[in-house]
Amino acid sequence: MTFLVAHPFFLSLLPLALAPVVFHLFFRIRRKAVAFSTFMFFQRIHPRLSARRKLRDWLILLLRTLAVALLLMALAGPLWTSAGHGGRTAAVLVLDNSASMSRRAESGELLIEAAKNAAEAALATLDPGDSAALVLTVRDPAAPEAGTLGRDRNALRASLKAVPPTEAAGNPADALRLALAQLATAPAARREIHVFTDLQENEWARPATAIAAPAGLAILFHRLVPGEPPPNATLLAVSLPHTRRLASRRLPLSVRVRAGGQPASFLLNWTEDGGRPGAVEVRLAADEEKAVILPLAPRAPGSYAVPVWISGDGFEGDNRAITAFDVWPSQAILFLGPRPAFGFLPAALAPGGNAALSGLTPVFADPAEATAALARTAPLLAVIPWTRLPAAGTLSDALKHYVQGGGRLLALPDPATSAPNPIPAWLGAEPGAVEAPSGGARLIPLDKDQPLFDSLRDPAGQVRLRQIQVRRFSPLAPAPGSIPLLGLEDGRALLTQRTEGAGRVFVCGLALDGAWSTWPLKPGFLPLVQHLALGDRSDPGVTPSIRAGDRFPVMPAGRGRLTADTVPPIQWQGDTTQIPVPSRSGVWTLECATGTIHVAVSADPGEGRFVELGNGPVPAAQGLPHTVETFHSARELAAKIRHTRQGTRLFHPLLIACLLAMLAESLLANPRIKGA
Amino acid sequence: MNAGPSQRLSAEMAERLRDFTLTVRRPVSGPRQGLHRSPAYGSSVEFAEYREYAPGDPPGSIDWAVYARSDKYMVRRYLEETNLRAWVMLDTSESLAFRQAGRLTKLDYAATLAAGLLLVLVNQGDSAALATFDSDLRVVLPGTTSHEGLVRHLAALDAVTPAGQGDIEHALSTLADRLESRSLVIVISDFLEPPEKILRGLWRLHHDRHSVIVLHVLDAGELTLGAEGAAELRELETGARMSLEADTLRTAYNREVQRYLEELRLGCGACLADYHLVDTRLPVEDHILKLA
Repeated sequence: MTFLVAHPFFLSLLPLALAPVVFHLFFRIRRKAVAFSTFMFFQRIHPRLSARRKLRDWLILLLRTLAVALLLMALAGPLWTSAGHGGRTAAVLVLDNSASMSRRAESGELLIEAAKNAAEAALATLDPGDSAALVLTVRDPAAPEAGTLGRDRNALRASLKAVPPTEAAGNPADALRLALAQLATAPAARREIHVFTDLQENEWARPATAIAAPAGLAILFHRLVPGEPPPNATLLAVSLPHTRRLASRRLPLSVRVRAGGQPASFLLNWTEDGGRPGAVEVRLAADEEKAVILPLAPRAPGSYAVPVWISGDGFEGDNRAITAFDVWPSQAILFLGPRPAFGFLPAALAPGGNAALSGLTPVFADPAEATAALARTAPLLAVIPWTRLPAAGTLSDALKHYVQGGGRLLALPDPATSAPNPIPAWLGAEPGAVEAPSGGARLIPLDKDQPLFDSLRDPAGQVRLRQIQVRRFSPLAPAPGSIPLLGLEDGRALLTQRTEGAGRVFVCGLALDGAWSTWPLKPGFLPLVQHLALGDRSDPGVTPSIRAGDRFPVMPAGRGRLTADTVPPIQWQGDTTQIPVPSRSGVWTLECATGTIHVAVSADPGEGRFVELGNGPVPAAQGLPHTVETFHSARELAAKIRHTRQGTRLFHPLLIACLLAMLAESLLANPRIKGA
Repeated sequence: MNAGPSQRLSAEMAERLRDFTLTVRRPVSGPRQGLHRSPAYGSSVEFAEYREYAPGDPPGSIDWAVYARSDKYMVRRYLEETNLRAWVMLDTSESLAFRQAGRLTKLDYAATLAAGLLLVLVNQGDSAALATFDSDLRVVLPGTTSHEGLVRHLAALDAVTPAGQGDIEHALSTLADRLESRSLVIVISDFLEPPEKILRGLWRLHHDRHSVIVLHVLDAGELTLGAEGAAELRELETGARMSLEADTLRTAYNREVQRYLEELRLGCGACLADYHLVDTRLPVEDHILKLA
């Protein structure tokens, strides 16, 4: 609500309203009291005559002041309106082009199309001399720029028509700030912001920081009401396992999906290696959330972008995601010793003896040639039996150097070992004498929270290691800093892990053949030993992911060029401080002076939550004068806007109030004394 | 009159008052023969009653004519005539400084009135005493029957100034304690106190069998509210201030004054006190004449 004043001069005279008080005090000081013999008779008339008189005097003064103030205000010609009035109008049309606006209204029309029609109707209410601009809640590089106030209606209508839907959440605070910045300098008496939106909570319920509003501002929210929520499934996230991705090795891509308030049945699609499509049908109960594993199998090393999308549900805005990553060529596993010394381990790491299935190539070398072999093969994992590893010496130093540089080392007993030999202290565990309990012992995980066991967890998060019988073992005494991973029920460790520099050292108290334990024969053996080589790595090569509508994670200064393989494709260049936000799912590339930045952008899953604000105050516009009206039709909207612009003249109400104050003053100033 | 010059009593006024006399309604006791009726029997020419002869009565007092008719020895008794012991009580409290319509302040007028009364009393051979009071007796001059003695009283009247808050009841009670014989008490005051309080003091004098004359001195500006418009008043005795709209209060004020005067007048009648309202606009002699 805004007050406009036709003659502000009269408001500047408002201090004159205090004149009665000043005169009263002045004459009171100057007035000499008249001597009188007694107040007895006055007190007989009314015991509190003087106190009443004083109170009445002040009331009279107040009424006189009020009357003068009201008269001055009436003469100022105030106009009470929801926005400015008179003169030119500057209007900014804020169009919500977030993903939720791609829903349909009751009429079947897309909300964003209805919003465009409403915006056109608002545009039509402006006079030829008025100025207008278009601001989007999602700064979509695919939409035409029209954020500067101008009088070219046709250009503005064309811009409005060309706004495509996005897959992003809008940023109402930024949009309002941009609109206010435009209006702040506009040479207009009346400033309007018309917001055409569904008021989805995902964006509009976020409180904004206070923004100063220019004089004569009115913000009108035109709320577009969506139809019944469609059956919807939301693609929440796409995630890769934290392992080294190798060519020819299967790569499980985890896709989290969630059904809306109704059961959902849809196809989960993806495009793999070279455009190979894949699809899987998913059925979800209402509000059910689920992780679907997509079996990717990159065949060659290189960079991959895997789009994943939902098809077959009722809302498109939250259906797309993408992940981009690098795939490495096959990697070597260096066994320092003869093959029999390692039991089943070579077969478990490289089934078939080559990289065809696991992407890992076994390489055997004499420990005496370890330094050369390490340099030649750059293995992911080096494995050595204890008996080949003296406590100190060149081999120990070479292996330590390799580990500190980021390598991984597994030391384990030779199956023929019957007595332990000293091993280097930096391995972090001291093996004890070999024991062979009659009846065996059971192998259990000692620290179930370790990532080593992630691939063995059931949906409840429990580690399922099955029954593993240990027949022979060399118990380990972990040094401080070593983590016991596997062990016996009595707590003694049989597999430890220690971080050394940038790499890791694993010490195993079991020879990995059937004579020592049943572990190599169990299904959990392969994932565990492969994890020792590949798992829990934070390798570079995964493109950062953001949601549509978020800002770029890195924003170098200077000029830049933005491209994206989205629909429609994006081509934008300019100052990076003005860079738009990624508005759709895809890989977005920013080229600038400092280099090239890739970002994998997924649709905002929050846009799939169909919860909207009502006609109350809008948190995103807190501190700004605004009203919310439900949009019904373009004609009604135009009529409302015109009515709002007319405002209410307050001359007569103020004049009447002034007369009432004067009447009350007269009644008080001329009281009827009881019995007089 | 040779009482000497006085601010309160000019020679012209003294001359005009020469033939004035003051009478009282109730018998009074005086030390000397005088003009006023005494409660005792004596040898005046005023017949009082018959009484049966008792041994010891002078035989000459037997009325033989009555004996001839009734065959009883009856003695004729005559009223004693005595002079008057009069006390003029003058209120000097602050409220008597008020003057609006009259030529003098109420105190000046009242003091002049007191001086005139004292002269009249002395002229007719009565004993005239003076007491001034506010909340208590301030100046107390014993009675005098001579003009020479009156000079002191007149000087005291010249010296009075308005001061203090009045308490008539207390002042009258204090005076009553001092009076030994039946006297005339003339109270000159504006009586601006609650009537019941004033009447308690008057009743005390009445019970002591004194004759009381009440001279109620008021300015015309008090009898009817003289102030106009919005006024800021200051009460003389207390210094309290009051803002009021005089025009709107005038009728109610006048009505309250009349009610108060009526209450006081009836109260005085009940205790046999002569009540006289003294308007300060009239000459003093006019009011003394009313008492004669």
